[in-house]
Amino acid sequence: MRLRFDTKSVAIALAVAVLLLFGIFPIVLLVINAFVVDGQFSVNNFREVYASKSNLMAVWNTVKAAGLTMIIGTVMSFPLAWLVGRTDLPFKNVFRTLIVTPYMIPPFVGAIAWGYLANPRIGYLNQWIRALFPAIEQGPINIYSMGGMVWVLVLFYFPFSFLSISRALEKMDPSLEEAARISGASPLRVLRDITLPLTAPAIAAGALLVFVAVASAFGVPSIIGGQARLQVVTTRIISYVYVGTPEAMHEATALAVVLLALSVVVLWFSNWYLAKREYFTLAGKSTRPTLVELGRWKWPMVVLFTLICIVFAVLPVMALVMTSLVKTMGRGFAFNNLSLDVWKSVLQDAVTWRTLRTSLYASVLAATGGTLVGLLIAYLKVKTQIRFRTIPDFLATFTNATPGIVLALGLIIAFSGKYGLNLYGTFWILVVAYFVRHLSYAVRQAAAALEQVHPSLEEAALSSGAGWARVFKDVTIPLIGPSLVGGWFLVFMPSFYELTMSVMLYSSRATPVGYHLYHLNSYASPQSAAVLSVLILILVLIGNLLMRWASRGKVSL
Amino acid sequence: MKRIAVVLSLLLALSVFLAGCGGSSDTGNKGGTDSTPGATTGSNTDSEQPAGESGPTGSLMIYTSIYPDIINLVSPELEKAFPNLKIEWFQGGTEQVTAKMAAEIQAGKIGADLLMVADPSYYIFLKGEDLLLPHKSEHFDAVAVDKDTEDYMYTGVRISNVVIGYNTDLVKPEDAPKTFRELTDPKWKDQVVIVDPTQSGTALNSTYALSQKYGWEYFEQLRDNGAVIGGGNSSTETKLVTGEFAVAIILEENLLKVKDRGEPVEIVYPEDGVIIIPSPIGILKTTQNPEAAKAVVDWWLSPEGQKAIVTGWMHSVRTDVESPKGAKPLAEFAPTAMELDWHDLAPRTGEIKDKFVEIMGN
Repeated sequence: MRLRFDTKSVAIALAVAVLLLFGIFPIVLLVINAFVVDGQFSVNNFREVYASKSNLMAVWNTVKAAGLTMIIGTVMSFPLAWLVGRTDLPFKNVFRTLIVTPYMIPPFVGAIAWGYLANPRIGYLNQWIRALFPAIEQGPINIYSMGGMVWVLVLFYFPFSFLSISRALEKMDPSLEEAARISGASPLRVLRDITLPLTAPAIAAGALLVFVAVASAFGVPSIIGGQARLQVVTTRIISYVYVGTPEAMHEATALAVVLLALSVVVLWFSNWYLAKREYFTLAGKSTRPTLVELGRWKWPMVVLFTLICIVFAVLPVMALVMTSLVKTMGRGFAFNNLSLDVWKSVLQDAVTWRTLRTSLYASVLAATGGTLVGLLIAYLKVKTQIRFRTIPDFLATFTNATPGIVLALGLIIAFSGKYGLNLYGTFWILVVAYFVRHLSYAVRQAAAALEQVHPSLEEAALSSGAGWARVFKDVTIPLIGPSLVGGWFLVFMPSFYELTMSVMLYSSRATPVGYHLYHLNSYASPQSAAVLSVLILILVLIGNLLMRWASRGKVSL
Repeated sequence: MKRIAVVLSLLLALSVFLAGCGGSSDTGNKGGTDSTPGATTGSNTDSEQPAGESGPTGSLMIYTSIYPDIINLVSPELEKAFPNLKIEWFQGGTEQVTAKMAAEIQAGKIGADLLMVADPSYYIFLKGEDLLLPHKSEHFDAVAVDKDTEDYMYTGVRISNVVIGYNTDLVKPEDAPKTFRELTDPKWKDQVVIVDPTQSGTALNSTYALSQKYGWEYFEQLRDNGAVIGGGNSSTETKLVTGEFAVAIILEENLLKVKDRGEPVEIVYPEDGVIIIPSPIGILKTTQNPEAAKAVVDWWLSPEGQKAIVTGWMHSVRTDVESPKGAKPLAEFAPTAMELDWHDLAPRTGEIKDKFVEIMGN
């Protein structure tokens, strides 16, 4: 098919142009900015930035935190995924849902919660432990340490790895395992010699995803690491941006470029590695695997899973609720020290509603734009024969893989008016940021759905004389409706509680709720932050239920 | 398709609900004040406004580092004084507000009409950039602190003091620290929490003052003694109140507020000098509503406005308004206060923050 100036080509070209302008241009500009000082190419910028000991420490801390989280998260995920996917564990569907709840909780909310649970002097957990064992005077848990930070990071980022392994187990041909079993191998041997090697690519991919996600995380390191005086690259970048001088901005870009390079290289490697190996595991048909009988291990495992779910999901929420109800913080949580005052003040505060509204509007716009552009990009990739048709999809994945902090910095440089368009300081830069960062979720949903639509349906409509726009509207979209709604929510939800980019892009007239929460917690009133956290959790939960229902169970977080 | 329709209508309902929430509180406030138009004539607005005695109209955006709870306290007073003026607030730590201002200045669209941040040196910077509007308030002569006596570009409006606070559950009064210097002593190992100067303007000022007096080694020693950055003043206050830390370098007003609430804290006015910060108010040159901005400045400097400041636990810039409840009178500790040269600090704020991040970051 040749490129022609019809509705279809124009629509697709527009979608691609939007992606290029708002996604790729800022990132390219950022990279150029980091290397070009006063119109001259130079690496002096980098030399200066990386001569500083504290910057090197930040890089080292980032690698250490991401590496440890990756290892611990993966080691933890595999047995859990295997138990849920390959054994007769009772209630496994419930456990499967509960165990990935941290995925639904915004990580910075989780970090706030764990601060309350496990800070050394007055954390609830520590108080309980000390009450049980009066011999212990200090601690014993200190969340404000590298170990504590990794712990919280593991909780909130291991689902990447868990989901990746679970999916591989589902896809894997169980007949291979059965063959081994029939030949007399013990379940453990099957696990070691068959399951593990076959899922290795998925384990590796999941692990790398965790690594990248943690390296670009800001919420947990800023809330937990800040107090432990552990700087990572992202918190360092924010510090520089808050210092605000042009030199500091330059240093921020130099740090950002390294973070960008790190994520891109790791994801590239992961895709390349997967593409080489995955056909082994994909070969299977979806026959039900024979489940390994746990026997006497059955109930201990149920207890273990219940404990894990309590620690993962119940404890943090409880800590937030408890904190939000305390009257005077000095006396801690006691029944004669409870009040709803903080709840009242937060709910009556106009700022709470204004920021919620800003986030709602921005994420609705981002999600709607994302669904539309995502659909067109997916259509281009799946349904046309144009050369380079997969490139926009790849670019969307790229902007998604770009750490939020890097993207936000790029947007500030690109849209401060220097290049014609002045969005910084307005509501629209939030919309653009959310849109670009989460676009690839919409593309993926739409592409997967479009692949299921047989071309004959569209051809029938076309040959009956309908124009492309009409076919698109009346045939294609209705056929893939639920997936589009799913994609819409996948853009909407993370945009609604987005923190990292919001912290850099908020303005006096457009303050999103993520920033408001960050501000309350780190500056104005930590107790109000607990209230707002609970409020956000409730909204996210409602959103998630709504999403499942509207996409007919096709999509959930 | 039906489900999509349901989702869409739910979203619509939600946005209407959210809009309603914000809106209703606005109108609610207005409704409350409409009943008493011009009850207080604290705003002496002899402007050319045809509205006459009902005062300036339109809207006014104030960027400030004053705490949200204090703003909520003051808002009704302001609305009483200016029934026809819609006052909007953008609140953040001084350094966060000024970072936003920096971006807005670069983009050539400053959103603020009036600026009430903590750091006095920032106003010197703004004056240097020719961004302020001169206004000699009728109360100008009553202001007893730092003010621009040459060009009337800004004037002190509230006084904040950086002091030491300690948790009385953890520290006995006789053991309490007496000086800032002492906090580097092993006696206070892992017990001290301080405020982040990249967020708070008063912390920027105290960082500057302490580094001038004791050198940057002071912060290196604090760090090596296990001192931790607690974020803004309020979040640091929480860490002190809950007993997470025994001692804090923090604003007096935070301590006064929580002490009054019955929290276990006590104030020390350090012998090596309280850090006194006379935070100014100034009008941005770009304001679309200069008459309203001037009237609001006058109100803040009037006895009524200053009483609101004192209710917000800060000291007044006027000598005819008394100190906040529970505070030492300014005159008692002002003579031994730490030296601060705002003109020296003005061009160096970035450098100070940079240095602090450098030291505390590893």
